[in-house]
Amino acid sequence: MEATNTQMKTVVFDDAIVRAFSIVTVVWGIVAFLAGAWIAAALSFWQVNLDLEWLSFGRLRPLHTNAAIFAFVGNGMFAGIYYSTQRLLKVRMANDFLSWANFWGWQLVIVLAAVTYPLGLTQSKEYAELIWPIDLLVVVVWVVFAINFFWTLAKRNEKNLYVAIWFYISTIVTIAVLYIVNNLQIPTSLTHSYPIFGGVQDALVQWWYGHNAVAFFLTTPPLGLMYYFMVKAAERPVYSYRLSVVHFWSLIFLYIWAGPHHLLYTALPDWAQTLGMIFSVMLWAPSWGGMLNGLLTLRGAWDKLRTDPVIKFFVVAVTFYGMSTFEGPLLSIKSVSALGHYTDWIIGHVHGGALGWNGFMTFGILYWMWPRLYGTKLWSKRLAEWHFWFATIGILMYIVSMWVSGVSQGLFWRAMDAEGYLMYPDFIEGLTNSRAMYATRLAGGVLYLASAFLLVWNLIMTAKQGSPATVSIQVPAKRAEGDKESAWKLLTSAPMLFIGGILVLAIWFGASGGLLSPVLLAVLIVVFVAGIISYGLHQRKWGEWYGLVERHALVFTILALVAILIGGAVEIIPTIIVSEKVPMNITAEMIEADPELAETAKWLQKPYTPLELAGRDVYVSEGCYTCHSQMIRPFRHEVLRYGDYSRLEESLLDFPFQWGSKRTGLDLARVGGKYDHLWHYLHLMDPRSTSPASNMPTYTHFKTKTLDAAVYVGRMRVLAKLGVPYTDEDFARAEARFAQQGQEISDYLSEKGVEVAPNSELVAVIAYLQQLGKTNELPQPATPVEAPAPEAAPAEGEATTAALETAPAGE
Amino acid sequence: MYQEFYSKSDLLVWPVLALLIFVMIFVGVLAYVFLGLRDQKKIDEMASLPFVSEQETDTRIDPDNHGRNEPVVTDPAHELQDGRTR
Repeated sequence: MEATNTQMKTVVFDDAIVRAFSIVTVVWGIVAFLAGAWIAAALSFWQVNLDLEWLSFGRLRPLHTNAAIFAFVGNGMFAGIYYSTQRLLKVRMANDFLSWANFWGWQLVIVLAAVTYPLGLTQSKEYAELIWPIDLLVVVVWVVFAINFFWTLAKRNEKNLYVAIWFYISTIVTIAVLYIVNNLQIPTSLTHSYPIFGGVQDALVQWWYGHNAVAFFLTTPPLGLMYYFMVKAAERPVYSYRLSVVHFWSLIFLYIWAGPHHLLYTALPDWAQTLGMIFSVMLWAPSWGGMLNGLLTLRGAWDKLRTDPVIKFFVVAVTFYGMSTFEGPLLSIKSVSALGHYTDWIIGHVHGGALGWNGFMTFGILYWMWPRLYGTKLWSKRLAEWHFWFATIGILMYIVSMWVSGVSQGLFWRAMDAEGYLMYPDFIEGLTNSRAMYATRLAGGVLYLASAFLLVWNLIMTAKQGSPATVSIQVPAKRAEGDKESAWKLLTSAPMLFIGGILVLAIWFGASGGLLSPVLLAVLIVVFVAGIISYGLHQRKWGEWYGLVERHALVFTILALVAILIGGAVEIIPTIIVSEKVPMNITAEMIEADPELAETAKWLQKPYTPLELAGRDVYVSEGCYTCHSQMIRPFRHEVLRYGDYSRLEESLLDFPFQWGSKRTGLDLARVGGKYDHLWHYLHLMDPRSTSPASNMPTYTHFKTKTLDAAVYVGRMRVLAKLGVPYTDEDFARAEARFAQQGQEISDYLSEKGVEVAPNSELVAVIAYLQQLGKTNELPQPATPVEAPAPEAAPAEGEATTAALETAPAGE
Repeated sequence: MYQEFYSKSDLLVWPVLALLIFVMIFVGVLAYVFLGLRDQKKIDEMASLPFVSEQETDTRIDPDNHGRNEPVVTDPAHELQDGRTR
């Protein structure tokens, strides 16, 4: 691979791996866009679900989002990183086997996802729906990528680490942390598991992950790629190196905090919501700093915008980045979120980011890189121009229609008449109102998909007119060591001691609860001022220190890791600890000892009966959360429409939580008891029979698929390990209860002229829906009894309390 | 208002501390970047890294030529205009 001469050696880049990743980027991109167009069509025309369970919206939506994020953008990211890293570090990737293991492992993950989602195998955590064995595979592949990348860093022939490499480093370490924490789970079978966090904890961890998947998978890698490919295409160095330093550190520190803005006005503690909002608004500054740095890199080269389609794609991509990072903080302001959350506005926002920013960035990179990979010129600039314009018009149609639809929905839901009652009490009216916008969205999506075929054709023809190129460079035989400074020396130097000192003092103050103590605050200020003075006196040394850190991959990685861990830990740990103080089971004795617990007990969720649990697991696997929330926000219009607002205690036992993020259908938090079993039967079999304008898929397969009670006994035991207060008696009677409750629902339906097996999925889902929002009965203090008689276990078939509680309304 | 913020748990002091840490380190980064980073040559060097390899000795091996190196200009016109970065 490397031939040495007296002073120079030849480094041959591995571009075969770049070509492979580029090809699959395009292939999976088409799949992702096609899946998107398909489900957009399903929202406009419910018949597109084809009455097939594998093609229902709830199952295909995760396939679309995962294909877009991990298959399209992910493979594009790998292609760009493998290409630019080798050139920026002047070295071939460390190990070809690891590169190809990364490639094939990632494709295997994608194929498994494409198979499992339509089968209904999901964790129901957005962008983390993969079942646990695939999660393990993701971790292995990511570790392989990380080893290869950091090994390459260690072998590099360029002592300096360019800004793009910083973003790649932060991506690798942060995604590892996020993915592992959010996927901590206990398997119950090869294809099913429960997360170790439930309710509000699960919600916070999920959106800490969810938002930072956006941050560290869809933002930091493309930013790193922007700093390389846009600079190369413009043939100008980055506008401001200084700004890139501020951009990088501010962005990675701030982004990690922003997750709770997905949970504004939910049952998440208010302090966490406020933090999420504040940091999201602050995030605007570094995001726009990066955007301006990208756009201003074109200074003096704007004429290329007329002639070079690559520059066109990059400029529009960065403009979309600016637009999305303005819209994101805007939507994170609580009063704006009150209007936009759960509506199509959010869908428009994420597509502006994914298709506008990530998509156009990926297209631009492919158009720039592909001809070089084949040692030729792009086959047709004109075709690329057509791609650009079709895709731009397509994405604009998509986004604008979703803005109109989303804002309309928000206004529609909250509209009140003069008496203070809902002006549009029927939810379906809002959906009907959005029909035209849904059709426009579909047209825009199809245009974007069609334009991608122009890319495919152009790339095929470009490859045909060239041949796979192998590029090499000459580098000095003696390796330029960027890491020669000892990591320990760097970590114990004055600037690091200053930063460490502030951290230690902060922890000390926090632990002592004395933040507001004037003395302790004064100490902190003195240390800070001392640091500033020291900096003033030893400016050169401090400057050199950071210069050395920039070259030291290990120290740089440690500092980046610390930056992202602070935000994550500070938000998640208090939520977990505070939530631990809310008991999952409250007895009358506990209330006697602490009367304040009565309010908690009133709202505390009851453990699911075996049949309800089975129904819930079916609900989860069908992806019902993609259209139905279970979180009523504390607004008058929501309370009037859905019932009392949701409390934290009401979903504590939900593993995973099902608060949802979008309302194409009604909120279901308090749907229990609103309708009788027959209504649910009819609605699931044919939603149009109860709501004529509904776009919900049919769930006829619920009627024919049956469930094994024994499976759910095992799952109850796993949930008990996670804190759900199931007793030995619950386990002993579980199968009988399962049969009993199923029989009651089945008998009820039979009386109405409908025959359904008591162990069918349909009956289980009805049992689950009928208990949603049923508040707890306050445990009564035990009355002293002289000699309590031992309670005889009910005989099989005897009605249980739980079963009676699920009796249909009006019965 | 802050009394209300802290009324639920002592743990809630941590987010405020983390915010303070961020502000301090942010100020430190700004100070470094705008006061300490004065070596324009170093800045130009860092900003021009994407161009270094090709400016020096970029060659391509012809796959049909059994690995013999032949210098090839992969990216013509690499004379950077307005090359100074800020």
